[in-house]
Amino acid sequence: MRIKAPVINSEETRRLCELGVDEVFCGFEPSYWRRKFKYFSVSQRPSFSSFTRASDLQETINVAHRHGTKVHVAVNAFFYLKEQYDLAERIIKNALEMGADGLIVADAVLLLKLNKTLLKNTDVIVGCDAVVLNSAAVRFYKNLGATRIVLPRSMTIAEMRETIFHDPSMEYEAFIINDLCFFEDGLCAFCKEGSGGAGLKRNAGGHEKMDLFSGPIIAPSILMRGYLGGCRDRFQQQEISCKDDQGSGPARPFYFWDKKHIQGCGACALHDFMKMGMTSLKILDRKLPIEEKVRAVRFIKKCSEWLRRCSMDKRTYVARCKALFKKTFGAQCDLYDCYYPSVFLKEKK
Amino acid sequence: MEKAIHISHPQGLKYFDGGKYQRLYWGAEFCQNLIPDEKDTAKAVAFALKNHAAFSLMTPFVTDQGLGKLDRLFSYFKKNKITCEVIVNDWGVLEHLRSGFDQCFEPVLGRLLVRQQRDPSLTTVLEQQPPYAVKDKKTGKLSLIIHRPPGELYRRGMMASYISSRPLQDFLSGFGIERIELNHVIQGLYLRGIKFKKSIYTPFVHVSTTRFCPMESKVQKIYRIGGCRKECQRHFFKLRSKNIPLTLFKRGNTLFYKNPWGIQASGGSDCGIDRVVYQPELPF
Repeated sequence: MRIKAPVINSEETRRLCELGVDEVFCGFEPSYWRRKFKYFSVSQRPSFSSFTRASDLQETINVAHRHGTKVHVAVNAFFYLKEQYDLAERIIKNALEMGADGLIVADAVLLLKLNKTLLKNTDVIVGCDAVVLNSAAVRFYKNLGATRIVLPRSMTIAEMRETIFHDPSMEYEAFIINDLCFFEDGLCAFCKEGSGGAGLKRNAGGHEKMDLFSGPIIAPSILMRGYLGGCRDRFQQQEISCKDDQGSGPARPFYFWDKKHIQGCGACALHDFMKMGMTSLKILDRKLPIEEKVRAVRFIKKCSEWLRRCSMDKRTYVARCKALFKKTFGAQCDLYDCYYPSVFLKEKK
Repeated sequence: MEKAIHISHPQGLKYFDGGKYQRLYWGAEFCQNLIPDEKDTAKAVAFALKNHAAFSLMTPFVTDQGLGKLDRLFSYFKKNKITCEVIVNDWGVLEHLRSGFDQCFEPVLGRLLVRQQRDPSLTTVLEQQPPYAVKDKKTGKLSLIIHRPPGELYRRGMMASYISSRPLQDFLSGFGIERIELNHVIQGLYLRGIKFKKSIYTPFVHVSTTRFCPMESKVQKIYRIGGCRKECQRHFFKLRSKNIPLTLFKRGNTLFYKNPWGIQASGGSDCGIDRVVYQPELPF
């Protein structure tokens, strides 16, 4: 199983490659994109999460290739406007000419439009935003030229196994750590659609101003009150009966995630992933500080090495994995933060 | 304008008013646990026939297990030579229809596959907001943050859908798609250049869906999948947040908001919409 990590600059790439990651992924949003489509992002993220200069991306590709690491570039907006496809295609062409080894896409139209000779010998990865939950959907995207599918984190181990079993000729990727999300990425209108979170920046005169350039999806008054994006927000919830449409009791505070649902980890599932033929394990969150990325890579690398080097039964592996989690992150792992709790459901049976 | 009603359980058939609706939508849109069985579906088909209404079978996004359930329903229709529309909300279901049931059904691209911007906070971005004062903690200096609503391209982009892309339309035509379905989003619609027939759902707009059904039980909160007790059929929730200008409705695994504006007010009829799908209760 390969390990894939997020990068936003060549220094991160160097450090992560030295740790032995097999693949890195990044965004590429050249300035000509924002000049034309100011508020729209190429890859659902603000500009600072992506390479904005071709020379920086080139340097990252060079560094990665020196270590034998592949580079995958995300051009994965939920969808593009009619007038944006040509420019998105140009970005892809630029990235591939620089030597990028693959693309991450979410929009079927982009796949349809891309010149197939351009994609020869390229990893064409259909991201989790495409919501590929079944083997027929795998076939659908394979016909469009996909070579790898990122399986949504909401799938159970058994569902993943069944999907892979139907077409083992495809490559499959699973999320393994960070960024546990409540909603199904491709079916969610919160936080990602539009162009990512807005941020504040300080200008030369010392006045704060909205950096609308990085995304106006959240209005300033709302942002300043501490809006965290739909599923992270605090709600007042009232139960209503379907029988009479009447509320029962007062409204109560409600969070989709309890406070502790922040990170997410699926390392315990590695034992199952290895058996079912998972190709790649994806470490998430481009915006994380490099030290966090390093910790995550070391942790997942160690777990996968255990499985590669010695045959270990699942129970022993899970116990060692949990102990390593505690040692690495300084906290007991928590089922609430578990990416793939079905690992344990199966054990219970 | 054709009027349709979406009903997902036998008790819901009471909402059907033969004089008012010309089409019955039957089935679950968001959850494979709620795919109706053949018995209930047969009843719904008979009901539609009796009331001289056309029939559309609604399908949700599915795993391979759900695809198996749908396959049994499709086989039932094929065996009984019943032709109808199938509302497809998963590319896999569309592929499955093509490979196993070619020419048996009229596939319609459901609203989960017709991507639109559905963020309930979007109006606070598109419409001018009052300035907001921020006090610097160190210096005590006040700064005013001014909201500058985005320009025409962004506004139009938020009302559009990728379905207006010509290559996608040609590709979908190859699957026999002739109709697409849309949310009646609060910011309005911009649907120029779409050759397909269009349906619009009212009054509930789909915001987000998860497979981690957030209906409160501990089993659901920890294991998330597999703890279904069909609570969604007993109650739903109203959610309010000071950051979101609309009340949200949580039923089962899905969040909705209600668009208070009529189809006409949103410019729907100018967009070539020829069918309205009325949801008498929160869909699930």
